[in-house]
Amino acid sequence: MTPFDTDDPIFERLKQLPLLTPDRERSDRHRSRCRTRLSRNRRHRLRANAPAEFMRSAVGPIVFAAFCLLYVVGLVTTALRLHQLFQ
Amino acid sequence: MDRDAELQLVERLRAGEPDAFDVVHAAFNGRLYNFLARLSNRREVAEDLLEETWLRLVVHARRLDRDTRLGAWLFTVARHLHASYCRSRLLEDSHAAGLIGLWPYGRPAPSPFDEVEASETHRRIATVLASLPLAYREALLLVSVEGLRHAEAAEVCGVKPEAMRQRVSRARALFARRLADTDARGLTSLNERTI
Repeated sequence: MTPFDTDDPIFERLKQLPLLTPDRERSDRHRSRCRTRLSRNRRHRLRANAPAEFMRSAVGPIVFAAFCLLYVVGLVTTALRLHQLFQ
Repeated sequence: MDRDAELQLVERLRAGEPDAFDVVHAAFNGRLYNFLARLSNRREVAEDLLEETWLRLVVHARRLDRDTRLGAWLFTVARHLHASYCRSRLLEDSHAAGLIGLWPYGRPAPSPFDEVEASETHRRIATVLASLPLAYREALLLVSVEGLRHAEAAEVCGVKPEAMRQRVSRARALFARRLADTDARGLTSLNERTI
């Protein structure tokens, strides 16, 4: 609400209206149903995303390790060639 | 609820945390019900629409934008659901019009609202509010009762802030005029308009 409206007598009268409240038992029942559904959705999502998550987290290290291995193999091969050359 | 707390709640809702849902429910359940009940003038309808509003949040929680304003989002959904309800009721009424002669028809019994509005003043204000056109009623409820800013109320109603400002101003003027009328003539004429 803007400062202009806060002192408005009409708005003040409207604010006097009692707040209507929902049936508490029904609200609680429904809230608990919503909670259950939210938890179920979350579990399903986590389960569905698990393989994709694993791939996402594993691909980086695997690629890095492959490059390292290639580098080491290259290094060893070059060292062996040089060793044969100078013998 | 401050903005940072609200943004954290949105993030937790997106992650599907049931505890976050509880916090939002506690903060908005009463306000949404009051809005829907005053909009529809029917307790049972308001209860149904309220439940549907929360279900929509559960279904769409994952797709909420990170900067969602929860209040505006929930009131927008509630308002849309009420509009859909009104449209469906209009269809039902037009269908039922052909059967009208087959069924005893009379004035509906006094609503539970009449019982709740204990004092005469509250009853008068509630009746005048209920007599306003829907667009004016929702504008007044959002801005004066719920304390939304004009821009937020405009977002809820899908209009520009300036249009909302004008709507609130017209609604306010009409409300004041009808309230003055009830002082002069009593509630009878308004009750006829409400039904």
